[in-house]
Amino acid sequence: MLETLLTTPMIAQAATIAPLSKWFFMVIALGGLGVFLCTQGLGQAKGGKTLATIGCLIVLAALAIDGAQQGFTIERSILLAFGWLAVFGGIGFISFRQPVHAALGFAVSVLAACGVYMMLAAPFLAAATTIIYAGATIIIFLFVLMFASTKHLETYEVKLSSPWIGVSVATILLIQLLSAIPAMPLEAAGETMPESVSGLGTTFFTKYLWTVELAGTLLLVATVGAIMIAQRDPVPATDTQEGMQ
Amino acid sequence: MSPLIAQSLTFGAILFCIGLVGFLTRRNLILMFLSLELMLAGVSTNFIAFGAHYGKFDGQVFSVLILTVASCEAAMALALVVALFRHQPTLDIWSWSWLNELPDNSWKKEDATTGFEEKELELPQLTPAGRDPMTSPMPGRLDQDVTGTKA
Repeated sequence: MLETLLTTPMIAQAATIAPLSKWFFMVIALGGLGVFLCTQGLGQAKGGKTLATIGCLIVLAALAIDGAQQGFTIERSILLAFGWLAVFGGIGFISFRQPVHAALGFAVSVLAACGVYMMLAAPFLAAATTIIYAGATIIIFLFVLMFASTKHLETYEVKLSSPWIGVSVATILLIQLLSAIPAMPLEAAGETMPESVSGLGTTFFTKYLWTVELAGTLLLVATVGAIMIAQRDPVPATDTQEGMQ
Repeated sequence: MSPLIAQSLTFGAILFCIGLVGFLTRRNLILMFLSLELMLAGVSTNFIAFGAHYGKFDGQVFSVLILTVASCEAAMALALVVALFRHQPTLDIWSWSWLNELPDNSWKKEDATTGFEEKELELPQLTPAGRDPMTSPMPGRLDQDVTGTKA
């Protein structure tokens, strides 16, 4: 199966491109790090911390080599910083065992992704994502504090469901995606992005007016549905259990 | 493709795959839902990067749509979590692997010794026939009794 994977035209074509070897290196390092973090847990084992630190240093060294070869600009440096912050937040999210810590990792990851949006000339989206995800994350925090026991770690937080299978599937998918990026047949770049919110608003309310209406309807339907689902049963659950017994 | 766009696409792919790992390996319901949100953030990064490549706002419009759908999904998912938590007070996804009716756990609660009341064994009894040997006199004495006039 590995041979068929390696002889895929996409991989074979991409393997001839020079910058890809660095990406493969980083992907393999990240994949190994992720596998280790998933199976061991960042805060569980003592040797885990040193190994995780070594993995992070490998990734950072690969990043430094990459930047030194292509040349740093301020724009690229800021984007790289936000991007790697997002990646490390995500790794913390999948590796922390305490659900509250994992939610913190998620918040770091999404806020760093907002920085990436800002560098891509999308200030409205950066602000909207910050507001929505920050609010959502606070709600999630409340839910976690309500539902999860903070006294001790539950079994289902420590024992994962088939970490090796999940990590290998994601690593294969990541290799395919990253090898597709340099070989992507894109048309010539358009004019530089005007960094204006009013342009986005004009696009919304002229070209995509029906889409906006549809999104509003979807929000309304989701609100009604959430209220309906979260309603208490008319018959209390204890009564039905007694009736069955 | 400018290196800025390529790096943004890379980060989108990495975010998506991290979310995929989280969704496949985590067993907490709320954290699985957060992994979905992370995957959506990666897709949204891709849309914004392509929009920035072509210098148009369409990518950002799609990204706002993704944000809308994500917030709807958050509301529905949390309502579902609340409804599920009322049935079984745990966040473990594996406790929902059987979607049948209420499980009959009565055999678990009481073990084999409780609920078993000691009763007298009911043995089969024959109908008494003939004389009762304990109350009736011995055959020899019977004669004596019968012929008690000797004494």
